[in-house]
Amino acid sequence: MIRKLNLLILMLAASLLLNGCWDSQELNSLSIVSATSIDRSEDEWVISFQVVIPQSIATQTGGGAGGSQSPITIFSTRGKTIREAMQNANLEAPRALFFAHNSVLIINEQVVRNEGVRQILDFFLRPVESRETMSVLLTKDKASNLLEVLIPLEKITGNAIQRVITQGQENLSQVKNIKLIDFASMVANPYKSAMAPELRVSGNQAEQSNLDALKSTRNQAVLKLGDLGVFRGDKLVGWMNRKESRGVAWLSNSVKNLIIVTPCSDREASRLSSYRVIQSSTQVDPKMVNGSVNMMIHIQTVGALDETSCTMDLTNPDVISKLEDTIAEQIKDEVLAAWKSMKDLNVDVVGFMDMIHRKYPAASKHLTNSERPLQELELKLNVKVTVEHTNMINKPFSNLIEPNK
Amino acid sequence: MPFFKRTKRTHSKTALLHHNEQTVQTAESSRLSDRLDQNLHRIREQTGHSRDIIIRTLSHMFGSDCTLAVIYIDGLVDTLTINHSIMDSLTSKDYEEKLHASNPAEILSIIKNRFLSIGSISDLEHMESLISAMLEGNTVILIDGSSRGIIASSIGGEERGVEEPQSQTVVRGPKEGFTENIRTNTALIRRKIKSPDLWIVDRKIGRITQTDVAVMYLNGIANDKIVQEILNRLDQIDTDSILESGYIEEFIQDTTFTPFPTMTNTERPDAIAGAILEGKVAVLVDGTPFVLIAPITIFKLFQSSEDYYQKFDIATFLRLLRIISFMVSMLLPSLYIAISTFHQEMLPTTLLISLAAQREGIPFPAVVEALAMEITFEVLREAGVRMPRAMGSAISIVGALVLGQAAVQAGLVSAAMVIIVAFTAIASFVAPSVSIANSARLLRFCFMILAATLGLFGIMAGLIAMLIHLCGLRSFGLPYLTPFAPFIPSDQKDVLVRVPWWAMLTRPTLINRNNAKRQKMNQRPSPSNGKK
Repeated sequence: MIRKLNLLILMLAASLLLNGCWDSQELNSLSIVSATSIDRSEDEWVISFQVVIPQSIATQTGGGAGGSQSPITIFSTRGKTIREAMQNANLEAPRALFFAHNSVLIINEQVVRNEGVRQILDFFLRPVESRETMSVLLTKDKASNLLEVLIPLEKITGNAIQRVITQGQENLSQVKNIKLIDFASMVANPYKSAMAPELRVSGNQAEQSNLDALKSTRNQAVLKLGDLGVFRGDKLVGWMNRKESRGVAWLSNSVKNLIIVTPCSDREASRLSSYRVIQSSTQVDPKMVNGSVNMMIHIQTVGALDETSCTMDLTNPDVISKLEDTIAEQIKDEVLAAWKSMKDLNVDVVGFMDMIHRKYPAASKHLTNSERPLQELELKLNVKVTVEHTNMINKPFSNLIEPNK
Repeated sequence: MPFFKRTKRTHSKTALLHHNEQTVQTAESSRLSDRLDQNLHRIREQTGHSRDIIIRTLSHMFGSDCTLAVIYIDGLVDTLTINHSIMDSLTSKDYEEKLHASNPAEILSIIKNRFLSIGSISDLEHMESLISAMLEGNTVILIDGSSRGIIASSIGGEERGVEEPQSQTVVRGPKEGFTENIRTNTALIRRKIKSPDLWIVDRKIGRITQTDVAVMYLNGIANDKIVQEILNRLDQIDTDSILESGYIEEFIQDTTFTPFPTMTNTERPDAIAGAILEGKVAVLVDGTPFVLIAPITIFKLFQSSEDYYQKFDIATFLRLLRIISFMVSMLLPSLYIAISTFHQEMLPTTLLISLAAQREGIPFPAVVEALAMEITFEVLREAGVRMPRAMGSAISIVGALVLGQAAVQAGLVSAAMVIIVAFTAIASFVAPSVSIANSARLLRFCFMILAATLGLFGIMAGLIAMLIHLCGLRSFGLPYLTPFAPFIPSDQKDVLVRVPWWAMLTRPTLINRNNAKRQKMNQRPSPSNGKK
């Protein structure tokens, strides 16, 4: 009994002590990676890491030279596989790369066009450390260039990029923050095409990579969200411009907050009004009509008039309903542009096939066999716009200047 | 461990035997002699001719040639009683003329029945009781020619008055605290519970110190089995000395090898009265203001007597705050170690980076840093308690400056660690009972080592082990986690939350099975009640 007890204590103590703080890592032995980019050159993967330099970010007394040092540094390595490239990073990085706080993954356009994303996704979903919430972005330039751009206000560029996207998603609706896990599930979904936003540098990138750039008030270059990259399978097939990507947002019911600019009337095409969507819902209902599938789309938006340069009597319900019609036309225009682009590129970013598959499995089987299934669908659009209020003033200010309407 | 227990048991058996033999021997040769000089000689001899033993002889009493001796120990007696009630009456001329007695025994009985204006008087036949009575502060009167004597109560001497307790201060509530005198202490409790059911059972424990121990409980409300159990355990104590209630606590508590106290102590009479009214048992020990309470549950340790005087909402909030503070003081450094060395992904990025920046250039791993800072704090704290008052401010300045600022500026510890240690320290002072704060203090170090070796897994394993241990603990038969394990719905009213007094209908169930009802129902105040 005593021997057993002693043995037990010994075993417990050994299991506690012999593991020797197994995978413990002190904070000052980590290179915290905030963004990763993937390029390809000469049949090799080129991986670049944006590593945060904590000393220069945290404002600390006695912490040394904060501010005179760049907040980030970039390591670039190459290898035959992504993992090998990453391992090669240890040849130059003084500290272990730590990926758990990697918030952005930027992939070069050529990589996704030629190689596809399957290997990249496999690599990033596999390790313990990696975060499934990192944002996936595409770029038409060299991806590592984007990591070099310094952004004022935010010292950690990786985080800043992610904030730009989430901001855009909340206030603009045309871009969507595609998380790695969502991206992977879209790629894996046979009834839906994947998409990812594009990030580009506008301006002189080389200038903005210098710390001196932060000293001037006007940036030499900024990171900017651009088009929407659309995939077929795991490969990029094309880009959708701003108008088309807004249409996609309308179709996929992801509009939250959006400004629609609309002309006052046909007569006054140069005078514009801004309508702010406060709430919007899109219902897509596939319907079988004579053997072909019609997509019944009901868009309902509620919003407010934020700005107008027109002269009209906004207290008149007729004027409001006319305004609503104009806005509805605008929305229809965007949706149809997106629909056309979808058909041209033969990508189903909205997930129409997914909906059909749920409602009419037989029809969907027939459709998936077809080369261009979207061509066989017909879109029936029904947009209902409500101008709920006109904010703090009713009559347009223009009416004061031109009272005779 | 079983081996250790066995040897201990045999030891105590032999000691008990030895002790019994001794008492038998002394009983035979202890009768008082009828010669005064012989008795006095024996007293002097037994006490080693100590100078504080005062023997006053009076001769030619009541016309006879009898010699009388008044014996007491200087400093233990109340001088006023000796002077006014004993010496005055013995030397009074008025009686001497009227009374005439020749027989020493007669004189003794006259003195006892007529002369001494003292409340408590008893007879005396044995040397042992003479000595012990004297040592308690009584006055002994012996007479030549009789083998009997009188014990007159004259207990007194210097003692501290009733003051505000230092260890448990309250904002609202009585400001009196127990003193070192057991009689004062029992009186303080009796003043709060004016009931004949408040029973006191006396014991004398400690072969040499002969310390008075009193067990106080409310008859009919306290569980008889628990009272009996406490008395049995007290009777089993065989030691030479009891100097503080801590001695008793270690002798009678259920489990020694636990960081958690299974009895608690307090300096506050109102806390004891409250506990007694719940059916608990108080153990008072002469010579210390700390009174023991048993049985207790772990939640009792997070409750202050002030909880019952304040409004119920703030009392509930404070109780939750204390439990959180306990967890903080036990776990915060270990959580910091675990998260900063194993689970960096759990921190928000900006926090991680600011922590990483602080750790730049720190030469030690986080564990070493934390252990060093915690030990430094413990040293400071211990120094603060033991140090002469006058140096207190000097030490606190040195502590604050050296540890807080200089250590960070010198790059030895990170600022975050100083914050962690400081908050841990402050949180540990929130606990109303010092004993539970101490258990957190010790467990903190265990958890730090667990966190350093296994990260959050280690902390989790430690917490589970602690919980299993807590479930197994008992305090005088009462499960330590009552009323959560076992779960008693009706007792939830006074554990984490404290309900208003009118809703506190019953006493805790497991402590007192009989007479659980505290008050009548429907006493919630409302305007209509006021009109009646």
